[in-house]
Amino acid sequence: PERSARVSKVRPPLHQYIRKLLFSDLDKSSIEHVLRQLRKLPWSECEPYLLKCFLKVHKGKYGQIHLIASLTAGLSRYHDEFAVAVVDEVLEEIRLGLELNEYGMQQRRIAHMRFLGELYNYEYVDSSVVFDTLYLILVFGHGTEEQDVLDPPEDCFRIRMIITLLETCGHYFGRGSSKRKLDRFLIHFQRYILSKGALPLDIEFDLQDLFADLRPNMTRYSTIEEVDAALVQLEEHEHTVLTDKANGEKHIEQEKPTTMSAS
Amino acid sequence: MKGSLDRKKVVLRHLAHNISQSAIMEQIDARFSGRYNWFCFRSGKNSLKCQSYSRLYIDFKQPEDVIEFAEFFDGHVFVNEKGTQFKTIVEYAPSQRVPKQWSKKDGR
Repeated sequence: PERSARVSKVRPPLHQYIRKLLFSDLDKSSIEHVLRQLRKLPWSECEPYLLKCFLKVHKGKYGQIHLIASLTAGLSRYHDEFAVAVVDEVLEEIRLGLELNEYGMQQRRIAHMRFLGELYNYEYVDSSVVFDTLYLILVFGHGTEEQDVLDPPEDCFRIRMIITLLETCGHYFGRGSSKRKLDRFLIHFQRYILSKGALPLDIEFDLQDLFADLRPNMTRYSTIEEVDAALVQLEEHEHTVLTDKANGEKHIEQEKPTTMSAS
Repeated sequence: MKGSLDRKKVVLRHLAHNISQSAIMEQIDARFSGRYNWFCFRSGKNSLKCQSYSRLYIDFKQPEDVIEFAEFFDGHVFVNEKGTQFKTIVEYAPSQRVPKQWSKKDGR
């Protein structure tokens, strides 16, 4: 058939250079160098393209996503606007993935979950952003007419997304309020898992690994009724803690003169 | 976790992919001029491979302005020149981070 030869995309030299730095030069040993080279770029001109490339984490190696997160944090010192945009863009991608739920986007969606987790590890997003995202994944589209399209009963992809995020940064939620937040989330997560019925084996094994890794002593509930009872109990517990805390704060205020030196 | 009272960064989603920054800012400034600290417009795309909406992030000075903004723009229907309607969504931005004002110039 008569068809013109496929024309390969010609990129401006600066774009080619950015791609070379990010997609072929970047590794653990070269990251300092890459960061320095990126800082030397003419920023006003390159920023939109850089943002585009940073969001292409799914094109690179999965094991290198933390390097892109590290670069984001490194660049934030000088180009905070850029780092803010990276975070907004990742969160938008995650949200968009939930809205479209396209099969072809799965690899990319997993890469973005990993990226978000790594951005948390590099202290560029707060735990509240991570937990908001986790809950968003559990509930998005539920209770609407589109539920069966957005999260079909036999579709386990959202479980995969949550596993990926928690595998990446869940081990940091081991103390204090973030520990309690994860404990709480994992019960809600269990409820979601049970609502899916029988799981494919690979997902079940990954879940077992995840729980063993993060909360080896946590009960895995086997029925929705059990998990609902646990949620009721949790809410009651949280309620008493809140009232105790309110009382406790009053208590501290009364004692303030004596405890001031301790703080 | 930040309560809704502290949240001032908002995202306006589902804008037409070809709307321009000046066009949307003109509409916003008509009501909210001087009431925000920062905004960032992200243009959408419309190609065979991928379609995406435009978005606008905006950081208000007062949390109350967020509510007025949402009342006005949430569900607001924009019509582009081809007659396609775009119904916008206003939400708190999932990440409340905004660029630091003092972001220093890179000495490189």
